[in-house]
Amino acid sequence: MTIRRPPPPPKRAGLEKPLRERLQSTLFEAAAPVLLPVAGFAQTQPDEAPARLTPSPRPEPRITPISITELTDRIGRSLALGFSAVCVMGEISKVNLAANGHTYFTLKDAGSTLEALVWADNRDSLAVKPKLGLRVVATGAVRVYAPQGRYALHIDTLDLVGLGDLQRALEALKARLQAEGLFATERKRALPTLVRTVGMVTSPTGAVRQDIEQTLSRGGARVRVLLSPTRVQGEGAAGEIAAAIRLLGERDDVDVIIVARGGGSIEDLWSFNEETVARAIVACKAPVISAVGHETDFTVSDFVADVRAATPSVAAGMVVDIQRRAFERTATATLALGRAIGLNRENWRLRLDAVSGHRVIERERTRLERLRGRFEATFVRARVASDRRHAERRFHFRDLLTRCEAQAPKETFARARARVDRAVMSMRARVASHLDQKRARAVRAFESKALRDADARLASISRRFRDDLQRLVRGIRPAVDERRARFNGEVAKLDALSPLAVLSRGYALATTPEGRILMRAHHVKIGDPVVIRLSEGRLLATVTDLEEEA
Amino acid sequence: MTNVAATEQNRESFETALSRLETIVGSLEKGDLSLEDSLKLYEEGISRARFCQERLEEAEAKIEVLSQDARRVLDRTAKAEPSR
Repeated sequence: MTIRRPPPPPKRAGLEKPLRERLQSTLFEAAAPVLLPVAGFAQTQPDEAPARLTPSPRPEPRITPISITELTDRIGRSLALGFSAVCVMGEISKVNLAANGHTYFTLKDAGSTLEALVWADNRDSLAVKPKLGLRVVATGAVRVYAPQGRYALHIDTLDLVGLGDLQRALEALKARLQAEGLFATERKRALPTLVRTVGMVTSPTGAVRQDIEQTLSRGGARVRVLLSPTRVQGEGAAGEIAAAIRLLGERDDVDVIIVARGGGSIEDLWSFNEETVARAIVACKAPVISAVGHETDFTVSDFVADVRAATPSVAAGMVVDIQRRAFERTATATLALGRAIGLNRENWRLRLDAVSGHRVIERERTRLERLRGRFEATFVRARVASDRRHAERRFHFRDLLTRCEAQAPKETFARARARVDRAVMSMRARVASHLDQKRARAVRAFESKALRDADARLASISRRFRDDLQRLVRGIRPAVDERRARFNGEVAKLDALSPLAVLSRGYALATTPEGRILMRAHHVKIGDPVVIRLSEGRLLATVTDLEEEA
Repeated sequence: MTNVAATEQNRESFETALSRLETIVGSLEKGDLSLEDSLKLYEEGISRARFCQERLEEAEAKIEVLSQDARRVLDRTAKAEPSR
């Protein structure tokens, strides 16, 4: 906690003296406690003991209460006497730049914390700007802020000692992991195409869990969330986080794991900088999304995870997108499959109508040719046999006639022979025509059957296409429609909640010329152009000064 | 262990099935295939589409909390799953 509204710095004569002089005169005296008589504490007078033996009927009350203001004032004076010039070493945390220009922060070491502040008019003369994690030597005076009963170190000088221990350890770990190649993008796995179960590593009671679950349900994602609960800060939290990741990683049903924590100070996020967490993420079977702190916070877990999400909600949004895409790709491909096969069916129909050399027809024709060949052979055999029979008969008659000729008048026999010849020829012709007809009928039958078969096959294929497609489309359409409707609803809601609406109430929005919204002073440098968006119109400005804070 | 491998394969093959389905659609759209080949592709496409759809339909929105005791959780899940 920081003091919100400190009193203006008292301009006392003592403070105008150079600091070093004050330090020399008071630094070592400070050890001796300055005792002021303080009423309000029970003070037993030594001569009171015998008085108890002979109690007076009405003892004079010796304890007069004093006001809180009075007490605080005395404590303040006591501190001013003893600690008006101190020199301390510690690490800076929780820096807060107030609107009035004063900077508040905490100085701490392994055992204690000390609130500290830098006056606005003193800020520019400091050798070091107060910044999170810096290890500094600070000089100044300890003073009481009466309205809140707090004391703080009012800083005169600030010098850098070096990076804080935490910061140094972090840099060493990062360098080591990077050297092992654990930050390399080639090592990172892509997120899966299908997510049915999301493993979530976070606090079971935090707002982060709700953010993720709400984002998933608002996005219409049908996913099972497996929460592996863990503490996310404090002693031993890193071990719990690593164990929670391993627990989910061992399961075969987890498609992706989100390791998440809300925003906080660098110390609050520290567990996610620990090596044990980094190792668990690297070893994890399922891809890991790291979503720790706010957009500007980077932890080691962000560097080793397969994907870094700016916030836990963004991580959940990734899962929503994966599922939406899986649904849409499946639906699109299924419908396209139907369209494509429909196109092809049209092609076949045309080709079949033209009785082109399509394979089905070709095959039927081959079959037909084979059958026809067999039939032709039979026919030829029948024909040959019949011819032979007729020839034999003719010879038989001829022979008979020749033998008769000798005994009968020549004319008669010639006529008879001609008649026999004609009869035999006409018989032969009749048989031949009969065979030809039979052959033609057979060929027609084969041909029409082949065509009928092909047509029937196409019809049954068509029916199956229609049924298959209808079933598939029926299955997937409602899911897609429902998601689309829900998505549209969310867009409408978002419109109503547009942050630009607040501009009309007098707020302004500062962005870079590229349109990136400025949340923190250190996102720009002095001299950078800045666009300030007002309710009506915009201002183009240049940064002339920066006041940085955490 | 075989169960793990099977599910792993299942998860893996959604992407495979979906990519294959998209390739099939691409081939059919070109339309230079014989009836026989088109039919074969179409039938494969339908079965892949059905597979993808089933995988998607299987998912259901719910929230479960695991205990930190890994062994107990894994045992419980192993017991609970077949009865579901």
